[in-house]
Amino acid sequence: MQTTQINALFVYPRNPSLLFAAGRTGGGAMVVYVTTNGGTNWLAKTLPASGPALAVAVHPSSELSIYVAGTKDGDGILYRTTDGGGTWTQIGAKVFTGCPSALAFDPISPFRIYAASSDGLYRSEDSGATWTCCLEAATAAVAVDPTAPSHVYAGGWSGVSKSTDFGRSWTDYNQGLTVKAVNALEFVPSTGSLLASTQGGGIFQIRPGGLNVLILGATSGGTIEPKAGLYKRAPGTQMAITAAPDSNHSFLGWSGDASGTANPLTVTVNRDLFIRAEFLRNLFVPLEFKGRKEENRSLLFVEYFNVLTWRPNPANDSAAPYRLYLVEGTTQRLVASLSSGVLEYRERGVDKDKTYTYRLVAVDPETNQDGPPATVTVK
Amino acid sequence: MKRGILISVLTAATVLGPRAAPSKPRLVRADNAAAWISIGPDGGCLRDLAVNPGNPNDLVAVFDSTPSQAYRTTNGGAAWKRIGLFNDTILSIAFGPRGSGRLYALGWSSVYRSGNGGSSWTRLTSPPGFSLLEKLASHPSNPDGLFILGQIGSQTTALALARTTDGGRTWKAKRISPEGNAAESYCLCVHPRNASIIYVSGYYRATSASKFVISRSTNGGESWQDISTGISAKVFDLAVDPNNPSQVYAATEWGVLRSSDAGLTWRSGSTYCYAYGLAIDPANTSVIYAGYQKRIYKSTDGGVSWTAIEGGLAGNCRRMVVTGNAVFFGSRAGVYRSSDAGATWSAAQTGIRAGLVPSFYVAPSSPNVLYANVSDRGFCQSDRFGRTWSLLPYFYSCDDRGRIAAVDPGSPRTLYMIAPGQG
Repeated sequence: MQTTQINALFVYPRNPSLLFAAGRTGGGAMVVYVTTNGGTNWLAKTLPASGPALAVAVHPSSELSIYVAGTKDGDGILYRTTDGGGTWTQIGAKVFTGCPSALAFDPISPFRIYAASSDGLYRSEDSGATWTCCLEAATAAVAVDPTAPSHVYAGGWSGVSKSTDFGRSWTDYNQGLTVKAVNALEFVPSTGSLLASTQGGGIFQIRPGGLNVLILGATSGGTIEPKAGLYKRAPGTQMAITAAPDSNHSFLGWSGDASGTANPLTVTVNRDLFIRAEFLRNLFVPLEFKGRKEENRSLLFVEYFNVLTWRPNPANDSAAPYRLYLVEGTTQRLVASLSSGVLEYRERGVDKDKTYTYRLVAVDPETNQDGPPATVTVK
Repeated sequence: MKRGILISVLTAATVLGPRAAPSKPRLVRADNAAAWISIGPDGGCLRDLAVNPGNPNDLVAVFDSTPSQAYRTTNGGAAWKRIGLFNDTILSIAFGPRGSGRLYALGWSSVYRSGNGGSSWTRLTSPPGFSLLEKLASHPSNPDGLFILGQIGSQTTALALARTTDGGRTWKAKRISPEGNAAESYCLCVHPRNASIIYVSGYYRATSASKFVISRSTNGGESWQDISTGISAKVFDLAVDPNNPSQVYAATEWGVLRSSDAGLTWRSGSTYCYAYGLAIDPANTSVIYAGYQKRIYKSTDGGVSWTAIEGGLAGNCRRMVVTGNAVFFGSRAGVYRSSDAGATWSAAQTGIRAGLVPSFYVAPSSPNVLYANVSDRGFCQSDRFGRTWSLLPYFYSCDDRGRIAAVDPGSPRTLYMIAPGQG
């Protein structure tokens, strides 16, 4: 992409291959580059204005409806296209002295748009043709709760304000926000969270609905009830989670924010919780694990071998490989990792008078975990 | 169901300063009772860092934010706790002398003292006549002794040092530069064993002259001698050998210079070393650490030769500190610690929630995956709504507030970013 400047990037939520990049061409024109194939090829959609485009947003109901904010001779300027960039209309002329830094759309009523700017928060009820100031405070960020579009949040240097009537009236929404200089806001519908990034306090999170999030997961080899996924619950709600291993698998226990093997598990959702059920394939002892010491005498020297043999356990996965360990006191040392078809191992250079104890395990090919050992002692 | 009304009091842990809003009860509707919680990432833009002279595991740090935040660790940087929230821009923080239990913090116009480890702060009387307070140092033995470097005057301004021996009840001030129309303080360095010996660096612009300056006092700030002969470069930091007050190091735009005659003559090292912060190992004063951007230099021969060390560090250095146990690199990206004399480094900022985050990106298909664009540090990725964070290997951050990245709606691990050079 040959360009002098790109200032903002937007991925269309319903189509990840559709990206918009806003900036200024080498010739100085305001421009939006559009790709429909994830960035391989870009098409320039030049605006009838000079100066840098600083923000781009695309309407959730149509990818052809693109809004671009920029500055021209230092003044904020806003453009709209409804045909994917073929024709552009300037909107909100003489409204913004600074460049609008963020736009938010009402997901239910597509004509309603909010624009955050240093002059305040503006709202349009006619797809951007006219604007009214609905919050007279420098605003850097705006977010709409898509599940309750009358709920609008505005962020700026002095914190977050909340409206429950499409921006007509506002209340401070700063409890716990120790650093109030807000740079960006985003509402995450799946968790019901509002996130705010700040200038000097990192990121803050709030759940306006007051619900906590429980994310349940399971490793392969079993299922859980309720199913793996994201759940929203009021603080203090109790939930029972049951783990059910598939055939030939065992339930090992819970991980994440839970531990132990209680089944069902009862949790109190008093904060965000991540809980995963751990399952493991059942593995069985290799059969007829035997060992003997052999002597190999040549002209120059005598060498001793431990010869170990076994038979696969038909209850195990036929692809299960083996691991062979040598027991040394209370620990064991890995001697060899062997593939599933191998049924004999010869350890060379052993001591004639020493006693050796070996453990052989089948290994889960998926998780690489050891099964229970078969043991043999070679004298 | 109609919800009840509850009364909530807007509080900050400590609200101080002339611009502080008084805490007043506010009516908050119950459905607004949910509170914001910090989810990280850890770190922040460090302004100053200091170690307790009586305990090498006890450090305090202040970070650039509005309000300014102070943090403290008592386990050598393993974990930090916030000890102060100032409605002021804090530029400097210091421990009082060993065993005093005192902490001091300096804002643009105010001096603060805590006698309880930072739980509460008291505003002291500021030195009169100063238009800007910039650097603070505590007296090494008098718990009520303080030195402040700043700018004096209102119509014209000069570099000046104010000193008190009684906790700010009375102040004495002496000009260090001529009166002019601009001045700036860079470093205030009081000898750790003999408080009569003070070195400062700064800049002034007057009708007669305009220059970078290093000055020295041997009588506790009563009179000053310009020792910047031959140097016309900004002096970011100074360090004095605790065993030999005439052995001085200066981190300048010309590299790290050293003087063994109290600044009468200066010499460069045999290897060039550009740095913003300096610290001498008190256990072996020929070992010196110099902090630069994402890199330190170490000298083991008293500043003659320097070896660059990289890896594990981020940001422009703002303060180097050597404790008995570790070396600290405080930078615009956070706090980094080395436990092996500077050889290897890792972040030591758990609990510090002071990041400058111009923008962030939530993965639409997996809302627990979050990317934060952190100034001076880069992109951090979180997997559990901020429970854990990791720095993405590709370093790039953009201070611009524009949305410079986007997460693929179908794939939480695909992040599109505007590449440097095009932004």
